[in-house]
Amino acid sequence: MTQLVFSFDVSRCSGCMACIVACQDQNDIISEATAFRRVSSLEESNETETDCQLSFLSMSCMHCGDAPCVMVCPAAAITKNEAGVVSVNRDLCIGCHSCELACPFGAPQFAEDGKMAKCDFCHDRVEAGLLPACVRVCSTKALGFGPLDELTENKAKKASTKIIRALLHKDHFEEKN
Amino acid sequence: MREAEFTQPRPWEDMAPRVGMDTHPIWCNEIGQAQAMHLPSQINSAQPYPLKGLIGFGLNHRMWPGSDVMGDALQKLDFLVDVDLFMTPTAKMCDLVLPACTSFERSEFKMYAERFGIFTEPVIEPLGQSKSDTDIVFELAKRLAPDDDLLSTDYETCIDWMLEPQGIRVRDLRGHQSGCFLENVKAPPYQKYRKNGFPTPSGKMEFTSSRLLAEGYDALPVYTEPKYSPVSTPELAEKYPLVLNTGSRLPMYVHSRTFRLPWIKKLRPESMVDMNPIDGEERGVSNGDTVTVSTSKGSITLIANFTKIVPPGVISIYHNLPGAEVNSIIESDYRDPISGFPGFKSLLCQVVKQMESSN
Repeated sequence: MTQLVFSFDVSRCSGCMACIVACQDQNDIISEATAFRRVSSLEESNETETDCQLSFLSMSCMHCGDAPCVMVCPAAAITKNEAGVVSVNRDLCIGCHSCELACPFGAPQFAEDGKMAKCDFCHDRVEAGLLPACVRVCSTKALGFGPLDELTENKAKKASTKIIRALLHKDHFEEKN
Repeated sequence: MREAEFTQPRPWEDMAPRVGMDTHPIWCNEIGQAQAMHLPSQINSAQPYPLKGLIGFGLNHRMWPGSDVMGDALQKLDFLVDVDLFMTPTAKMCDLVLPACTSFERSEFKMYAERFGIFTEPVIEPLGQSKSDTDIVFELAKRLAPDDDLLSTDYETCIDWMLEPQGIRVRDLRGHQSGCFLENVKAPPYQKYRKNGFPTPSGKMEFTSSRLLAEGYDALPVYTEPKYSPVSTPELAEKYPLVLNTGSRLPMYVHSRTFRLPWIKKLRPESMVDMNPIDGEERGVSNGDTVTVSTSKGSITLIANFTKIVPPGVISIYHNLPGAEVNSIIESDYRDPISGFPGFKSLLCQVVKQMESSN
């Protein structure tokens, strides 16, 4: 089974929150309800507290391999398909919030009608060969999307290319440093 | 090109002194503009001459230090007009509001460095009664200066007139929707200082400013403490020990341009004051508490947001927070004497936790 996943490079995220706005746009979230993606900040200080390192984390549903929300849903409204996408059938949802309790990432959101709503990897866009809205809009390319094995392979390729380049230009590299 | 004809048709000597010329002459002379931050002072004092009416294009009294003072001053004018995209708080004070259309509803000639020009095409007709702001200017000019041959025409005719020496016509630009290279426009000359020198009193590159020296300032860029700071006003700092920094930028906003979008407003909906946890603990404030931020001018109510982005001793408040306008607690004359720019980043304040009963 393929498993579609988001990838996230924490060193690239600038915390601009364009991913949240794109998510709200794509999913027509116009009410007070929250987008399916959130950005949180992490502040790390050195021992003397004179400096502060700021990082951002953009998170949505992880579409877990063994998704707890699927297991706890008493109405069988949440399913995981052959592409690994965890989605909710809102006609079946009874609004009991069990998924919210089970989810370790706070992914399930509840719209004004009391039923659960969540990230579905922008199913309509992906079907049409497009990237999910949040990935498409990410200007620093911190967010990525694709099958799990491909993303891992690409990352490995990228890292090894860098290492080989550094080795090839070893003299130059050492000179510069 | 002839664009200078539109920016300054008459020399300054033939016109009334610019607003702020008496208090910030260096700014007015160097930049060739009025210092608008001085507007409320001149409206209130009627010195060196009274101001009776004002036409603003996108006028926003809330960007002035002492925004309430500026708002009150504007309402003292006999006649106040604002040309605006939105019915803003300032527009609501006006005798007349002229609705301007957006850039999607009008054409505009834009000239970029490297001699790249573009004449934008509107996507839709202006909505409602709105007009392009340049059309509003021309309609006014037809009534104020009916004998002016050029101003009695329209925007496109004036652009053609400006570009005439270069032999460029708007109708030729229209064919290039993404803009085009204008080969007839002269590139800035290389090393022009060799011929004309630098625009300084000595004509040379000055390591010390003879202009600042002539006005009684240091000729070198020396550090000066802010008007109110723990160092310059220690007695004031006893009551207001924290440095107040305002108007920092959040990544989802471009100035105040996108403030009205509910999608974006939702990203940070609360009116918060960013403060270091150390300062919070000293004041018995917990993260999320309702607090009062006071200066010598006034106070506002906000939610405490603990963050280490601000160092201990400093608090930070963004602008345009619902119900907590930080510019209203800054004195309207809290300005840099040279440039007239407001000291938005350096004044003194205190943070006090609000008692439960007052919520």
